[in-house]
Formats: sequence, structure tokens, C-alpha cells
Amino acid sequence: MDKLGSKTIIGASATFTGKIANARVVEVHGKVNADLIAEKVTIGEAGRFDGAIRADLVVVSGHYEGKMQAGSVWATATASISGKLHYETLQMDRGAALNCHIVHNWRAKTDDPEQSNAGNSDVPLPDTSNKAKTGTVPSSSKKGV
Amino acid sequence: MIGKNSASPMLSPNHSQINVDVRIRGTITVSEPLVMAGQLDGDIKAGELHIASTAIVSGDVTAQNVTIDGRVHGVIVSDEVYLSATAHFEGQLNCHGIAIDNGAYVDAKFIKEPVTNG
Repeated sequence: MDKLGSKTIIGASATFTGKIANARVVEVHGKVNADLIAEKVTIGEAGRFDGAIRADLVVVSGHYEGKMQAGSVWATATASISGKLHYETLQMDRGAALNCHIVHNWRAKTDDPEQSNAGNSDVPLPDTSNKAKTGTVPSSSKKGV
Repeated sequence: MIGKNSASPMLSPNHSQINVDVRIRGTITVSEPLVMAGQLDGDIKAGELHIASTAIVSGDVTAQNVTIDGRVHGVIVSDEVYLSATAHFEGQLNCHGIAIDNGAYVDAKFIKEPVTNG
């Protein structure tokens, strides 16, 4: 398996439709219409991704449309993103096009229980981890809404 | 962090690969070579296809050339098929040329087809 490296690559001529799970590093240079859970996702300049992404790091150089939930997002100069973008840290290069709903620190807001459960919480948020340490004060941990 | 650090080393590869451990449900269509090492529940259409020893494919496979080291359950339509010693194949094989290594598990119906170019 050495020649494979640790990447999953959707090549420039590839079209993929469906669902991808358990992938670590994914590179998209072709057309993908899928839901994807991974650690690192790269969408190349020629890549086009439609669908949901949940990942720790997403680098977008191509076209993305859908709901992205990521720890870090880097939109390079050729990126074009539409849909919904939930991020913790975002870098945007000059020229990147974002036409989307952008939400910061989505993991902190537990308004959608499905999101907080399904995500692999490998990246702990500082404030939540503090809260967990001080912990066990149920009444004060309730946030005013 | 400004501007020109977009040295994103994004050479678009002319091949596709699905890594070990990856689970996929869906359809993959590629005209370039594809290496499949993960689990797929669905169909593949490819030019040159290598199903690695770790792969488990349930679905139909259409390709010009197929090399199988892993497990396939379904219909294979191809010009040339090579089943290596580690291959495990159940289903139907529509092909023009075939090679099966000693040790391969094959439980299939064979249908000889004329050479296609797709």
C-alpha cells in the first residue's frame, strides 16, 4: 500500500456520486457530489464539490457548494464557496469568492445536537474545555438565551 | 499570510485513488486510472482499474482493464481481466481476455464478449 500513500484522490477526470466515510486525507480534482467526513480535504483548482463536508481542515481552491463544517478553512485565491460555512479559523486569500452563510465557532453552539454529536471532537475548544474542568455546576453552566 | 503564499501544491493528478479504510457508497466514473483500496458499495466505471488486496467492492465494475487483488462481488464488464492469487471474485464476468492466477477464488459465470472501446 506504500504507493498509495495515505491519500484518497478523486482525479481530474473522475466523477463521484455518493457518500464517503472514514477517509483521512482527500484530494478532489474532479467532480464530486457527495457527503464527506474526513480529516483533511483539499479541493483543487479544477475540483468541484457539491455536498456536505465535515473535516478538521479544508483547503478550497476550486468550487464548493454545500454545508461545510470545519476546524480550519483556507480559501485560496481561486476559491469559490457557496452554501453554508461553519468554521473555527478561516483564511481567505485575495480573490477568493465567498457567497455563503458563514458561522464562526459552530462547535461551541450546541443548538443543533446532531452537529455536536456527529462531529469528531478531536479539536477541543478552549472555553468548553475550561468549562469541563471547572465542571459540575449545572445551574451556572446554563447560558442565557 | 497575505496573498502570494498560495503555493498550494495542487498538481492535478491524472489518476484517482481510494485509500484503505475509506468506505464509499455511490458511483465512481473515471476515464483515467483508478486504484481502489477501500470499501465500495456501488458501481465503478474506469479506464484502467486496479482493485487492491485490501479492497472490498460490491457492485458492477466496467473498465477496459481490470486487475483484481481484492474482493469483488458483482458483474465485471471489461476487455481484459486479471485475477491475481489473492483475488476473491463472485458474480459474472463479461470479458474478452482473462487471466487467473493459481490461488484466486472465483465463483463466476463467464461470458465472452467482443472487444469494446469503452
